[in-house]
Amino acid sequence: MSREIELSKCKDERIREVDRYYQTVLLTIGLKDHLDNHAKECRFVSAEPRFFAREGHEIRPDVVIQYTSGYGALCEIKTSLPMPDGYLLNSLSQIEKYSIDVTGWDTPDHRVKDHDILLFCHALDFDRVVQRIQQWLEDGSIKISKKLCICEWSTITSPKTGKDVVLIRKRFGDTSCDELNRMLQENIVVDIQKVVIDYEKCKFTRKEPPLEYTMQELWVNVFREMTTKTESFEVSIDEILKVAIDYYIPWSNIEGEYSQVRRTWIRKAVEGFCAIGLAEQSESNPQRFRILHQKQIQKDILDYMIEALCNLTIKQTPKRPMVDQEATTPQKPLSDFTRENRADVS
Amino acid sequence: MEAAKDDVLPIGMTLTLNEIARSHMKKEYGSIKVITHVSDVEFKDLVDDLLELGMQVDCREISREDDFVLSSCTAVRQVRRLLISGNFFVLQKKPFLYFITGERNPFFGKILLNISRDLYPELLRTYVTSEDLYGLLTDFSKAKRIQLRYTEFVYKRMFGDAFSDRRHEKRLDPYKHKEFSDAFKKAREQGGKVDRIRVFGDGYSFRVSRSGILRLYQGDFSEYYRFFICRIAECAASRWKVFEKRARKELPQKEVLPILVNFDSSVFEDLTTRKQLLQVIADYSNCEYSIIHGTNPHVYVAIFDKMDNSSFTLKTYGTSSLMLVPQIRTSKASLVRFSKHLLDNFQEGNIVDFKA
Repeated sequence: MSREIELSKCKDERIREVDRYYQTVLLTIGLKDHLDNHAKECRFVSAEPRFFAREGHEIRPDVVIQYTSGYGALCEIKTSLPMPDGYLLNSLSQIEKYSIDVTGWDTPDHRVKDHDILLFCHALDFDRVVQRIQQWLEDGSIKISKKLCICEWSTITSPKTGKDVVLIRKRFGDTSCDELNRMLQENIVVDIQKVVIDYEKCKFTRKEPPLEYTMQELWVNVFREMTTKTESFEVSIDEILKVAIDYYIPWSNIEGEYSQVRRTWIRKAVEGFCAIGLAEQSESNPQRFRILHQKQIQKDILDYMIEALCNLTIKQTPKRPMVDQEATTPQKPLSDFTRENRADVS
Repeated sequence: MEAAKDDVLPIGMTLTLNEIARSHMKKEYGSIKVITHVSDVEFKDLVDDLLELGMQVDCREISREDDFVLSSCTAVRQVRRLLISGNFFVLQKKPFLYFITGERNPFFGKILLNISRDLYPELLRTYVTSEDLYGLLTDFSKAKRIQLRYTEFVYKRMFGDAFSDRRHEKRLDPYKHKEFSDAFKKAREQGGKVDRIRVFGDGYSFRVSRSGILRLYQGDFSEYYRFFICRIAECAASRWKVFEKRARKELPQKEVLPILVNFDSSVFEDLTTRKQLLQVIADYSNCEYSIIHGTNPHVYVAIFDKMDNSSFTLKTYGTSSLMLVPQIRTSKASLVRFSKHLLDNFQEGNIVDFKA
């Protein structure tokens, strides 16, 4: 593949990831808004919960819903899912981890009677993913002992109202909550206009954002708080984190909840800036970084960051040696990725 | 709308400015030009900043009456090998500041307009809407009982210069001049808005424009000031109140307080328009931006104004509005500058506070 094609492919992929992450945040806010305003038998509990399995392992659902019946649901939102079956199975293995009893619920003993698993897939991935999941459930590649409900989501312009909406609809399985089933059956439609203000305060979900998403948010917004003029300045990771915590409020006030933005995300973003020449480590204090303001930088800063990072990735990827067809390692069979053969599945 | 009595020029200043205007207007093709601004800073305190930009400006106060201060200034600047110099007057009554000059180009274009631009954000050039211009002309016409007719007008359709559809209409036969209202009607019929118009009637001949540049060819300067100059500045200042104290860092609960720009028609129904909006953003000077979500079904862009270290996000809101969402640090000046860019390059809209 020529370098230009590789670069263009890499850029398209990363731009799509940033966009999908933005849409995922809208979906989460939209779901919360809808349940807060319309549901009686279930409620949106959190988007940044801390849950633990019996062995003390932390599990990380994207959203938690609880029903008045004493049951609950752990939700996994998939922004985009890989095409190759092996990678897809790997990335769906997370829902298997939800298939055990966990603590961390918003109840006095932090437990519920039982819980469902809700998987939200983007509409563009949905058909492919459901087909595979059905197949893997049948052949035992994925084992789930809880009720599994799969919904598709997308942001569209409503043909009825002409408004931009987040559309969520149930396409596979059921939950234990009749009201939630009915809502999902009849489609949850959230007017994006209603949730835009919330988005400005909640730009991050539980899921780690694409590197470029965090970088651009820091560059355009958070760094403005840290300097009065458009010029280079020095800063530490903790100082950035403090501003981020101040302005990106937690999703709810449940005890043990994370703040929206993680230190590791900020550290990675600053490393990203250093890698592409927009920041440098301070010589006198390695804990501090100099954020460099460059006058002649490209105006489309997100595109600039993505292109620079893609260029680095392409440079670092070693070129495949030209070898005989016979000498090539045979492709791994799909069974290598299945539950029995994967060490990471508990 | 009636001309405000408070904004009548003091008597001494009326005589001085009328005399200055007359001396320029009596020259062949002479006129007096005014650039209107909003500024809270004394102009003399800004002059030093211009030196760094290669412009030497010297000012001398010549009159101070009531709240008005009038200074006479000279400006010199070397443009390539050409040394351009000229005189202008600065009339200031806080929060308004006017440049007044009889000089022509290149001084007007290369010096005075540059000063106006370079002193941003301390100096904000005003802009008004087409409806404002219509109101001002109507008021003047009624109060003075003068039938104003137009000699030329420029209107802009959507996308201003970039996708312009301008009509430059010039009638040489004086008997065929029509009333100014006809120009506004014509512009409207073509789906556009009057950007500037030159009118005349009963000893007056002048031009008014949305971009805060005014020109008097014939007539009484103090009346022109009363009916147009100061009112255009007041109009802009009152409209810009909506941009004040929007930054999240200035608000006790760090609230998010968006602003809506409402357009007359469903401009964003068409996907092409949403794409063209991205081009308008790309053409915005001194900024960096991130297109987080482009065109389908809406546009969401984060903009960083490098001129004053501000940022805001922009989102198409429904089919006929744009939402500007102030971020942690968002200045009034940056919102004014961007809304002016929209007016010039996209479409004139009505700016209002967003009520959730």
